[in-house]
Amino acid sequence: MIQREVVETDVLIVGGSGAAITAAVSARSEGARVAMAVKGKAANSGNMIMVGGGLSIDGESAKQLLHKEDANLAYTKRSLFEKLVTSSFWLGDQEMQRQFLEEGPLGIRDVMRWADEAGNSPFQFKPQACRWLTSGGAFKRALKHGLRTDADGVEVFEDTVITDLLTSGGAVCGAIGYRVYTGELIEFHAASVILATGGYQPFSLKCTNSDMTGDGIAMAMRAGAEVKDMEFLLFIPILQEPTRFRGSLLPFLMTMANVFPLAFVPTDLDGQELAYPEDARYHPAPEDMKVSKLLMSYFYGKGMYQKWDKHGNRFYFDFSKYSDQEILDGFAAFAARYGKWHGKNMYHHIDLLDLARAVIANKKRLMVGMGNEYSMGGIKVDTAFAATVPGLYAAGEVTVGLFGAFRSGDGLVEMVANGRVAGKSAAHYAAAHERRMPEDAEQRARELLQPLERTEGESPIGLRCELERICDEGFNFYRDGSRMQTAYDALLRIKERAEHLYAPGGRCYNLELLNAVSLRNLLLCCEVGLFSALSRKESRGCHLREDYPMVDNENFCFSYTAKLVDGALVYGKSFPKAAAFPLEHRNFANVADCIADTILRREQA
Amino acid sequence: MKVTIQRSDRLQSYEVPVLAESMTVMNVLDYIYQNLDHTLAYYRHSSCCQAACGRCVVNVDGVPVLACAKEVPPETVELLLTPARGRVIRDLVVER
Repeated sequence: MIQREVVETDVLIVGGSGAAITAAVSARSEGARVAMAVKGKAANSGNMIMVGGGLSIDGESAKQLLHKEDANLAYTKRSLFEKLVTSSFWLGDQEMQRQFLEEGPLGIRDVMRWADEAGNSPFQFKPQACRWLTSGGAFKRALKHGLRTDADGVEVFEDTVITDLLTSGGAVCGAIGYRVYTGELIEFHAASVILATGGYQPFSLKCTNSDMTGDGIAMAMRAGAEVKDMEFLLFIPILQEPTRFRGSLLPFLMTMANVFPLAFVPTDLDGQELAYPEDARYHPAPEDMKVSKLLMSYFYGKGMYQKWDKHGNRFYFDFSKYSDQEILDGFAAFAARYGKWHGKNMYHHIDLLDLARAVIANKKRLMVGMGNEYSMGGIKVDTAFAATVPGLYAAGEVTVGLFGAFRSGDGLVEMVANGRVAGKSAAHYAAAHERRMPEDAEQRARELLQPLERTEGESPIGLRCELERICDEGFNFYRDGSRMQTAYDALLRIKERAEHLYAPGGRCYNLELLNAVSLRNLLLCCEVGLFSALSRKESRGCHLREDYPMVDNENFCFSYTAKLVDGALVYGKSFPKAAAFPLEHRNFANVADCIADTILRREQA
Repeated sequence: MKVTIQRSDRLQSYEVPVLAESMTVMNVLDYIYQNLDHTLAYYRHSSCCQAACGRCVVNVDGVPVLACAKEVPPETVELLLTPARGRVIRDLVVER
């Protein structure tokens, strides 16, 4: 038997970001014994720390729960609900969307209290949009305080990678993993498990934490759970160059006229403008700016895709209509807005005046690309955040259902809204069910250690880089059948090679072992995502196809689902229900027209 | 550029090309790990690469910096990377 430490608890939470911490607080308040296994540090991991904008809730809740007397009451739950439904391109679960609007403000109230108690977390309220501007740093300090004060007694296992769920009689009853620093195996026995591990971002250009390797989604699938909507991945403009700042979402903030004072011209690398129509119906108001992510993907993507083989995912924000001084002043004005969170002239690690000078030196152009920000697909859950396998719960980006084909709500609100419910549900399940002894712990331990025991084989980081290249080329923000098929075939070849991973150098902080774990999870997520994307012969939300531009509600208003049965992927369909808001039956010529007609409600001229 | 790294049991040098006009220490470490030596250990799990998590501390020529934020100018000829203060786990990884 392979030696491993055993930890027993009622509820095991995997993850250490917003959803995990709010779930821990919630489960503890129900009296459950709680353990958290965090790949990095609690409250200093996941995508929460990468936040560049803020969060919003409805006006009535802002006034009643957060005491913001000047909150815009026209910003109602009903209007937000309709926005969620239409932005999901009708694939969102309307019950989950209604629940999100009720639970989100309650979760944010807790976070604001923690921020106030922590004393050093500036959240700036903008009444017109009912929006709080904040930063990842401010949010993590609040969550860290909440974990300390409101989740007393939670056992936290940091720098611990969970590699598989453990099961007994078809129910989830724990998890196995290892401590990154020592390589020692650790096995958790729990009555219920909550996965709060985030999404999957399999591209070389992304603005997210390195944790986003689909760990929870893939582990849940291996335990028998169903996933859906894996083809929908959200992209925003992020920095390509200068290389030292690559991956920053700063360019997305530059697209907002109320945030960044200079107006760029988007061009391809040959200097040809990437046409974005003047027509007002494609220009969202500030309160609808989230949908601009998708409109930019569509309009910029159309132009970029013509030269994809030549330039790939790179284009310019061209500021050449401005003088050097105007560019410096524009960046300085932007810096003044963010200084309170990031320090004078800084945005995270970017010296904004340094960047302005780099833009000027580069013929007044900033090189950007469409980088992956979020994955809409994930573990299928109900309104208790229970997965389709008993004993398993999930919260945050790892789940699916709230946002369908496009995320219009705030990730920060999603985290806390989901975490509250999942924690309570998992605690209740634990109270009603005996802890079971896992049947598959030894087998999972052997699988985990295999790359260490081989004497030769494939390099996990080598294959992971290949997978990223495949996804960059054929599974990116703009797609067609031919490229996707090529990518899918290449992925299957990598999958075969990944049966022989080799991680030399022992267990202690072995990066190849870490990448072996991540690669296996990413491969499974990408296989499902690519297969679903190939099958969806239309465009919808973040699935933009050159060869099938139409939003085809007549034939494709459903989600693709997937699960593993005896090790083989089985695909299916799941149809949305019009619980409170009607589904759309009209087809639209393309995603932009669909957005204009149904989300922005702009009449065609 | 000659990059010398304090491994757990020895100093080891690598020849790294200029990867870009501007790059970071993390870019250099990624290049070595991905292309030259799969056994190199440096902080790379749960990493933000945006100076948000503050965990990738390493000494550059004896001065502690965040690997993801510290620029390496293209004209650099030699670079010495050693573990930051703390209990060394392996190579450049310290317990933090």
